[in-house]
Amino acid sequence: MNKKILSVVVLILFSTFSFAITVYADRWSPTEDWGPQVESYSPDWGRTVMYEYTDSAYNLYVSPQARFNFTQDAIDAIRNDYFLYYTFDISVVDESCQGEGCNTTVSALNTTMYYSTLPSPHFDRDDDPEPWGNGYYDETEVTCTSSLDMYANTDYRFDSRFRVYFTDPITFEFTSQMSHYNYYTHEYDTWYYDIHKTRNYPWY
Amino acid sequence: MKKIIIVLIILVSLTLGTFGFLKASSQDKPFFDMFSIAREISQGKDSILSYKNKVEKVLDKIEVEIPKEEKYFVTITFSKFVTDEELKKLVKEYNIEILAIEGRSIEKGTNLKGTFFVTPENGMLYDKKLLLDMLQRNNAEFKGFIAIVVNIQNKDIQKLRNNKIVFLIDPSADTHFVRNPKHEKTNSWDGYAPSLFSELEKNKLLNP
Repeated sequence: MNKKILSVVVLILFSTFSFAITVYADRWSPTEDWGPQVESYSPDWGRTVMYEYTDSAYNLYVSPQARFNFTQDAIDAIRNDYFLYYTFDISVVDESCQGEGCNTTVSALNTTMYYSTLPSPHFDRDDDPEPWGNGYYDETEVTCTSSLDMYANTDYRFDSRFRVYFTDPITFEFTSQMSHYNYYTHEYDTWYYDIHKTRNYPWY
Repeated sequence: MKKIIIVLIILVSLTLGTFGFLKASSQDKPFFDMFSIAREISQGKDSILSYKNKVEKVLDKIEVEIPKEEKYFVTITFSKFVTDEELKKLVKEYNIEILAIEGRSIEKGTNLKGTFFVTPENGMLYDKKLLLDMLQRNNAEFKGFIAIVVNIQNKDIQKLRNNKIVFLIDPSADTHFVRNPKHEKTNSWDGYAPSLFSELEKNKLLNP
Protein backbone atom coordinates (compact mmCIF):
# COMPACT_ATOMS: atom_id res chain seq x y z
CA MET A 1 0.00 0.00 0.00
CA ASN A 2 2.74 2.41 1.03
CA LYS A 3 4.67 1.51 -2.06
CA LYS A 4 1.63 2.30 -4.19
CA ILE A 5 1.18 5.76 -2.62
CA LEU A 6 4.86 6.43 -2.98
CA SER A 7 4.85 5.51 -6.63
CA VAL A 8 1.79 7.71 -7.25
CA VAL A 9 3.52 10.62 -5.51
CA VAL A 10 6.68 10.02 -7.50
CA LEU A 11 4.65 9.87 -10.70
CA ILE A 12 2.84 13.14 -9.90
CA LEU A 13 6.10 14.85 -8.98
CA PHE A 14 7.80 13.60 -12.09
CA SER A 15 4.99 14.67 -14.42
CA THR A 16 4.79 18.15 -12.82
CA PHE A 17 8.50 18.49 -13.19
CA SER A 18 8.58 17.45 -16.82
CA PHE A 19 5.61 19.73 -17.54
CA ALA A 20 7.49 22.62 -15.97
CA ILE A 21 10.47 21.82 -18.13
CA THR A 22 8.52 21.76 -21.37
CA VAL A 23 6.86 25.09 -20.59
CA TYR A 24 9.57 27.16 -18.93
CA ALA A 25 12.95 25.78 -19.91
CA ASP A 26 15.29 28.17 -21.68
CA ARG A 27 16.29 26.92 -25.08
CA TRP A 28 18.63 27.59 -27.97
CA SER A 29 17.75 27.37 -31.64
CA PRO A 30 20.14 25.69 -34.06
CA THR A 31 22.75 28.09 -35.45
CA GLU A 32 22.71 29.30 -39.05
CA ASP A 33 25.68 30.98 -40.74
CA TRP A 34 26.12 33.35 -43.64
CA GLY A 35 29.12 33.48 -45.96
CA PRO A 36 30.65 36.04 -48.37
CA GLN A 37 28.35 39.01 -49.09
CA VAL A 38 28.07 41.33 -52.07
CA GLU A 39 28.22 44.75 -50.38
CA SER A 40 31.69 46.12 -49.62
CA TYR A 41 30.91 47.02 -45.97
CA SER A 42 29.28 43.67 -45.07
CA PRO A 43 30.80 41.07 -42.77
CA ASP A 44 31.74 38.06 -44.90
CA TRP A 45 31.11 35.64 -42.08
CA GLY A 46 28.31 35.59 -39.55
CA ARG A 47 26.43 33.24 -37.26
CA THR A 48 22.87 33.64 -36.00
CA VAL A 49 21.09 31.93 -33.14
CA MET A 50 17.97 32.57 -31.07
CA TYR A 51 17.60 32.05 -27.35
CA GLU A 52 14.17 31.73 -25.76
CA TYR A 53 13.66 32.28 -22.03
CA THR A 54 11.42 33.71 -19.30
CA ASP A 55 12.07 36.24 -16.54
CA SER A 56 11.14 35.94 -12.86
CA ALA A 57 7.56 37.02 -13.69
CA TYR A 58 7.34 34.29 -16.40
CA ASN A 59 7.25 36.81 -19.23
CA LEU A 60 8.44 35.14 -22.42
CA TYR A 61 11.40 36.56 -24.38
CA VAL A 62 13.45 35.69 -27.39
CA SER A 63 16.93 37.05 -28.00
CA PRO A 64 18.09 36.81 -31.58
CA GLN A 65 21.86 37.02 -31.61
CA ALA A 66 24.42 37.61 -34.34
CA ARG A 67 28.19 37.12 -34.37
CA PHE A 68 30.10 38.38 -37.35
CA ASN A 69 33.50 39.44 -38.54
CA PHE A 70 34.90 41.56 -41.31
CA THR A 71 37.69 41.22 -43.82
CA GLN A 72 40.24 44.05 -43.97
CA ASP A 73 38.63 45.24 -47.23
CA ALA A 74 35.24 45.62 -45.52
CA ILE A 75 36.83 47.49 -42.59
CA ASP A 76 38.57 49.84 -45.05
CA ALA A 77 35.24 50.48 -46.81
CA ILE A 78 33.61 51.38 -43.47
CA ARG A 79 36.51 53.51 -42.21
CA ASN A 80 36.90 55.44 -45.44
CA ASP A 81 33.35 56.71 -45.36
CA TYR A 82 33.26 59.86 -43.28
CA PHE A 83 29.49 60.39 -43.34
CA LEU A 84 28.18 56.85 -43.09
CA TYR A 85 28.20 54.73 -39.94
CA TYR A 86 28.04 50.95 -39.68
CA THR A 87 24.81 49.64 -38.15
CA PHE A 88 23.66 46.12 -37.39
CA ASP A 89 19.90 45.72 -37.39
CA ILE A 90 17.68 42.90 -36.12
CA SER A 91 14.03 43.41 -37.05
CA VAL A 92 10.76 41.57 -37.17
CA VAL A 93 9.43 41.37 -40.69
CA ASP A 94 6.10 40.20 -42.02
CA GLU A 95 6.73 37.93 -44.96
CA SER A 96 3.12 37.97 -46.13
CA CYS A 97 3.67 41.63 -47.02
CA GLN A 98 6.23 42.38 -49.72
CA GLY A 99 7.97 45.60 -50.70
CA GLU A 100 8.48 49.09 -49.28
CA GLY A 101 6.72 50.09 -46.05
CA CYS A 102 5.74 46.53 -45.27
CA ASN A 103 7.78 46.17 -42.12
CA THR A 104 4.77 45.44 -39.90
CA THR A 105 4.79 43.94 -36.43
CA VAL A 106 3.63 40.48 -35.65
CA SER A 107 5.41 40.15 -32.33
CA ALA A 108 7.31 42.76 -30.38
CA LEU A 109 9.76 44.08 -27.85
CA ASN A 110 9.17 46.57 -25.10
CA THR A 111 11.62 46.46 -22.22
CA THR A 112 15.20 46.66 -23.30
CA MET A 113 18.39 44.67 -23.03
CA TYR A 114 21.18 44.94 -25.57
CA TYR A 115 24.73 43.68 -25.84
CA SER A 116 27.37 44.42 -28.46
CA THR A 117 31.11 44.20 -28.90
CA LEU A 118 31.10 46.87 -31.62
CA PRO A 119 33.19 49.83 -30.38
CA SER A 120 31.32 52.94 -29.09
CA PRO A 121 27.88 51.46 -29.73
CA HIS A 122 24.71 53.55 -29.79
CA PHE A 123 21.46 51.61 -29.44
CA ASP A 124 18.18 52.36 -31.08
CA ARG A 125 14.75 50.81 -31.50
CA ASP A 126 11.85 51.52 -33.80
CA ASP A 127 8.19 50.86 -34.07
CA ASP A 128 7.68 50.08 -37.75
CA PRO A 129 6.24 51.11 -40.08
CA GLU A 130 7.24 54.76 -39.63
CA PRO A 131 5.85 57.06 -38.47
CA TRP A 132 2.90 55.44 -36.69
CA GLY A 133 3.78 51.81 -35.98
CA ASN A 134 1.45 49.83 -33.75
CA GLY A 135 2.77 50.56 -30.27
CA TYR A 136 5.35 47.75 -30.25
CA TYR A 137 9.02 48.15 -30.98
CA ASP A 138 9.89 45.61 -33.63
CA GLU A 139 13.30 46.83 -34.76
CA THR A 140 16.56 46.97 -32.80
CA GLU A 141 19.80 48.51 -33.98
CA VAL A 142 23.34 49.08 -32.85
CA THR A 143 25.42 51.76 -34.56
CA CYS A 144 29.18 52.03 -34.19
CA THR A 145 29.92 55.74 -33.70
CA SER A 146 33.70 55.34 -34.02
CA SER A 147 34.41 53.58 -37.31
CA LEU A 148 38.17 53.99 -36.89
CA ASP A 149 38.07 51.64 -33.88
CA MET A 150 36.63 48.76 -35.91
CA TYR A 151 39.02 45.98 -36.84
CA ALA A 152 39.14 42.99 -39.18
CA ASN A 153 38.79 39.42 -37.88
CA THR A 154 37.27 40.55 -34.59
CA ASP A 155 34.39 38.79 -32.86
CA TYR A 156 31.64 41.40 -33.16
CA ARG A 157 28.29 40.59 -31.62
CA PHE A 158 24.82 42.01 -31.29
CA ASP A 159 22.27 40.47 -28.93
CA SER A 160 18.92 42.12 -28.41
CA ARG A 161 15.80 41.06 -26.63
CA PHE A 162 12.25 40.87 -27.86
CA ARG A 163 9.31 40.31 -25.54
CA VAL A 164 6.95 37.78 -27.02
CA TYR A 165 3.33 38.86 -26.61
CA PHE A 166 1.72 36.60 -29.15
CA THR A 167 3.20 33.46 -30.54
CA ASP A 168 2.16 33.82 -34.16
CA PRO A 169 5.08 32.73 -36.28
CA ILE A 170 7.35 35.64 -37.17
CA THR A 171 10.55 36.22 -39.09
CA PHE A 172 13.68 37.99 -37.88
CA GLU A 173 15.87 39.74 -40.39
CA PHE A 174 19.61 40.23 -39.72
CA THR A 175 20.89 43.21 -41.70
CA SER A 176 24.00 45.37 -42.10
CA GLN A 177 23.36 49.02 -42.87
CA MET A 178 25.31 52.16 -43.52
CA SER A 179 23.44 54.95 -41.73
CA HIS A 180 23.73 58.70 -41.83
CA TYR A 181 22.11 61.75 -40.32
CA ASN A 182 19.68 63.17 -42.83
CA TYR A 183 19.89 66.97 -42.69
CA TYR A 184 16.54 67.37 -44.45
CA THR A 185 14.33 64.94 -42.53
CA HIS A 186 16.45 65.12 -39.34
CA GLU A 187 16.29 61.34 -39.01
CA TYR A 188 19.00 58.73 -38.84
CA ASP A 189 18.48 57.09 -42.20
CA THR A 190 19.73 53.97 -43.88
CA TRP A 191 21.78 54.79 -46.95
CA TYR A 192 22.73 51.22 -47.93
CA TYR A 193 21.59 47.90 -46.51
CA ASP A 194 22.39 44.24 -47.00
CA ILE A 195 20.19 41.46 -45.56
CA HIS A 196 22.38 38.59 -44.38
CA LYS A 197 19.85 36.17 -42.98
CA THR A 198 16.18 35.68 -42.19
CA ARG A 199 15.05 33.26 -39.52
CA ASN A 200 11.67 32.06 -38.36
CA TYR A 201 10.50 32.14 -34.75
CA PRO A 202 9.41 29.90 -33.17
CA TRP A 203 11.84 27.50 -34.79
CA TYR A 204 10.51 24.40 -32.99
CA MET B 1 -14.99 93.03 -57.07
CA LYS B 2 -12.95 95.37 -54.87
CA LYS B 3 -14.25 93.52 -51.80
CA ILE B 4 -13.15 90.17 -53.18
CA ILE B 5 -9.66 91.52 -53.91
CA ILE B 6 -9.35 92.95 -50.41
CA VAL B 7 -10.48 89.65 -48.87
CA LEU B 8 -8.02 87.78 -51.07
CA ILE B 9 -5.17 90.08 -50.07
CA ILE B 10 -6.03 89.60 -46.40
CA LEU B 11 -6.18 85.82 -46.82
CA VAL B 12 -2.87 85.70 -48.68
CA SER B 13 -1.09 87.85 -46.10
CA LEU B 14 -2.54 85.77 -43.27
CA THR B 15 -1.31 82.57 -44.92
CA LEU B 16 2.12 84.01 -45.58
CA GLY B 17 2.27 85.40 -42.04
CA THR B 18 1.38 82.05 -40.49
CA PHE B 19 3.92 80.32 -42.70
CA GLY B 20 6.61 82.81 -41.71
CA PHE B 21 5.74 82.47 -38.03
CA LEU B 22 5.87 78.67 -38.15
CA LYS B 23 9.15 78.78 -40.00
CA ALA B 24 10.65 81.22 -37.52
CA SER B 25 9.46 79.29 -34.47
CA SER B 26 10.74 76.01 -35.90
CA GLN B 27 14.17 77.52 -36.48
CA ASP B 28 14.90 78.65 -32.96
CA LYS B 29 16.41 75.32 -31.90
CA PRO B 30 18.84 73.15 -33.84
CA PHE B 31 18.16 69.44 -34.34
CA PHE B 32 20.01 66.91 -32.21
CA ASP B 33 22.63 64.94 -34.17
CA MET B 34 24.57 62.31 -32.21
CA PHE B 35 27.06 61.77 -35.05
CA SER B 36 28.29 65.36 -34.79
CA ILE B 37 29.01 64.79 -31.07
CA ALA B 38 30.73 61.48 -31.86
CA ARG B 39 32.94 63.27 -34.39
CA GLU B 40 33.60 66.17 -32.04
CA ILE B 41 34.97 63.94 -29.24
CA SER B 42 36.96 61.54 -31.44
CA GLN B 43 39.98 63.79 -32.03
CA GLY B 44 41.91 62.78 -28.91
CA LYS B 45 42.25 64.00 -25.33
CA ASP B 46 41.98 67.73 -26.07
CA SER B 47 38.78 67.29 -28.08
CA ILE B 48 37.14 65.45 -25.15
CA LEU B 49 38.22 68.09 -22.63
CA SER B 50 37.04 70.96 -24.81
CA TYR B 51 33.69 69.22 -25.36
CA LYS B 52 33.40 68.80 -21.57
CA ASN B 53 34.19 72.48 -21.13
CA LYS B 54 31.54 73.52 -23.59
CA VAL B 55 28.87 71.39 -21.90
CA GLU B 56 29.92 72.58 -18.40
CA LYS B 57 29.23 76.15 -19.54
CA VAL B 58 25.67 75.14 -20.46
CA LEU B 59 25.28 73.65 -16.97
CA ASP B 60 26.63 76.89 -15.42
CA LYS B 61 24.04 78.82 -17.41
CA ILE B 62 21.04 76.74 -16.36
CA GLU B 63 22.18 76.92 -12.74
CA VAL B 64 21.57 80.69 -12.66
CA GLU B 65 18.81 81.04 -15.26
CA ILE B 66 16.49 78.06 -14.86
CA PRO B 67 14.27 77.04 -11.88
CA LYS B 68 15.86 74.47 -9.58
CA GLU B 69 13.08 71.93 -10.09
CA GLU B 70 13.29 71.91 -13.90
CA LYS B 71 13.95 68.38 -15.19
CA TYR B 72 16.53 67.52 -17.84
CA PHE B 73 17.11 64.46 -20.04
CA VAL B 74 20.83 63.79 -19.73
CA THR B 75 23.51 61.20 -20.35
CA ILE B 76 25.88 60.91 -17.40
CA THR B 77 29.29 59.47 -18.21
CA PHE B 78 31.11 58.07 -15.20
CA SER B 79 34.81 58.69 -14.60
CA LYS B 80 35.42 55.08 -13.48
CA PHE B 81 33.76 51.66 -13.49
CA VAL B 82 30.80 51.94 -11.14
CA THR B 83 29.52 49.04 -9.00
CA ASP B 84 25.93 47.99 -8.40
CA GLU B 85 26.12 49.42 -4.88
CA GLU B 86 27.54 52.79 -6.00
CA LEU B 87 24.85 53.08 -8.67
CA LYS B 88 22.02 52.45 -6.22
CA LYS B 89 23.47 54.99 -3.79
CA LEU B 90 23.79 57.61 -6.53
CA VAL B 91 20.20 57.13 -7.68
CA LYS B 92 18.91 57.65 -4.15
CA GLU B 93 21.16 60.55 -3.22
CA TYR B 94 20.48 62.67 -6.32
CA ASN B 95 16.82 61.69 -7.01
CA ILE B 96 17.78 60.20 -10.36
CA GLU B 97 15.10 58.72 -12.59
CA ILE B 98 16.98 56.01 -14.48
CA LEU B 99 15.90 55.43 -18.09
CA ALA B 100 18.80 53.22 -19.17
CA ILE B 101 22.15 51.96 -17.89
CA GLU B 102 25.24 51.37 -20.01
CA GLY B 103 27.91 49.00 -18.80
CA ARG B 104 31.20 47.40 -19.76
CA SER B 105 31.95 43.70 -20.02
CA ILE B 106 35.00 41.80 -21.16
CA GLU B 107 34.82 38.82 -23.50
CA LYS B 108 36.54 35.79 -22.03
CA GLY B 109 39.54 34.55 -23.98
CA THR B 110 39.69 37.44 -26.46
CA ASN B 111 39.57 40.29 -23.86
CA LEU B 112 37.37 42.16 -26.32
CA LYS B 113 35.38 45.01 -24.76
CA GLY B 114 31.63 44.63 -24.77
CA THR B 115 28.87 47.11 -23.99
CA PHE B 116 25.51 46.25 -22.47
CA PHE B 117 22.50 48.54 -22.30
CA VAL B 118 19.71 47.70 -19.88
CA THR B 119 16.58 49.39 -18.54
CA PRO B 120 14.58 49.24 -15.29
CA GLU B 121 12.12 46.36 -15.14
CA ASN B 122 10.24 44.10 -12.73
CA GLY B 123 10.54 46.84 -10.10
CA MET B 124 14.36 46.86 -10.24
CA LEU B 125 16.90 49.30 -11.73
CA TYR B 126 17.78 46.40 -14.01
CA ASP B 127 17.17 42.66 -13.88
CA LYS B 128 20.50 41.37 -12.59
CA LYS B 129 19.79 37.74 -13.37
CA LEU B 130 18.78 38.47 -16.96
CA LEU B 131 21.83 40.71 -17.43
CA LEU B 132 24.24 38.07 -16.15
CA ASP B 133 22.51 35.45 -18.32
CA MET B 134 22.94 37.67 -21.37
CA LEU B 135 26.63 38.22 -20.63
CA GLN B 136 27.14 34.52 -20.01
CA ARG B 137 25.55 33.49 -23.32
CA ASN B 138 27.95 35.90 -25.02
CA ASN B 139 30.91 34.46 -23.13
CA ALA B 140 31.49 37.81 -21.36
CA GLU B 141 32.16 38.97 -17.80
CA PHE B 142 30.70 42.01 -16.01
CA LYS B 143 33.19 44.82 -15.47
CA GLY B 144 31.12 47.80 -14.29
CA PHE B 145 28.60 50.47 -15.16
CA ILE B 146 29.95 53.28 -17.34
CA ALA B 147 27.07 55.66 -18.05
CA ILE B 148 23.40 56.28 -17.33
CA VAL B 149 20.62 57.92 -19.32
CA VAL B 150 18.31 59.71 -16.87
CA ASN B 151 15.84 62.45 -16.04
CA ILE B 152 17.18 64.67 -13.27
CA GLN B 153 16.34 68.05 -11.71
CA ASN B 154 18.52 71.11 -12.24
CA LYS B 155 19.39 71.32 -8.52
CA ASP B 156 20.54 67.69 -8.46
CA ILE B 157 22.58 68.19 -11.64
CA GLN B 158 24.41 71.03 -9.91
CA LYS B 159 25.20 68.85 -6.86
CA LEU B 160 26.10 65.75 -8.84
CA ARG B 161 28.48 67.66 -11.14
CA ASN B 162 30.94 67.93 -8.27
CA ASN B 163 30.89 64.21 -7.46
CA LYS B 164 34.17 62.56 -8.48
CA ILE B 165 32.30 59.54 -9.84
CA VAL B 166 30.97 61.72 -12.68
CA PHE B 167 32.99 62.81 -15.71
CA LEU B 168 30.22 64.73 -17.43
CA ILE B 169 26.48 65.36 -17.25
CA ASP B 170 25.46 65.99 -20.84
CA PRO B 171 22.05 67.55 -21.63
CA SER B 172 22.77 67.84 -25.39
CA ALA B 173 19.82 65.64 -26.36
CA ASP B 174 17.37 67.50 -24.11
CA THR B 175 14.48 69.33 -25.75
CA HIS B 176 15.27 72.57 -23.84
CA PHE B 177 18.18 72.95 -26.26
CA VAL B 178 17.42 70.90 -29.35
CA ARG B 179 14.63 69.36 -31.32
CA ASN B 180 15.00 65.61 -30.94
CA PRO B 181 12.40 63.66 -32.97
CA LYS B 182 13.71 60.35 -31.56
CA HIS B 183 12.90 61.47 -28.02
CA GLU B 184 9.11 61.79 -28.20
CA LYS B 185 8.34 60.41 -24.74
CA THR B 186 9.96 62.07 -21.74
CA ASN B 187 10.12 58.77 -19.84
CA SER B 188 12.07 56.90 -22.53
CA TRP B 189 15.80 56.66 -23.31
CA ASP B 190 15.27 56.93 -27.08
CA GLY B 191 17.46 59.52 -28.77
CA TYR B 192 20.02 59.69 -25.93
CA ALA B 193 23.29 61.60 -26.18
CA PRO B 194 26.23 59.21 -26.69
CA SER B 195 28.32 58.45 -23.61
CA LEU B 196 31.99 59.45 -23.63
CA PHE B 197 33.30 56.46 -21.69
CA SER B 198 34.94 54.59 -24.61
CA GLU B 199 36.84 57.77 -25.48
CA LEU B 200 37.90 58.17 -21.83
CA GLU B 201 39.24 54.60 -21.89
CA LYS B 202 41.06 55.13 -25.16
CA ASN B 203 42.67 58.38 -24.03
CA LYS B 204 43.50 57.19 -20.51
CA LEU B 205 41.26 59.76 -18.85
CA LEU B 206 39.66 57.39 -16.34
CA ASN B 207 39.99 57.90 -12.60
CA PRO B 208 41.95 55.10 -10.93
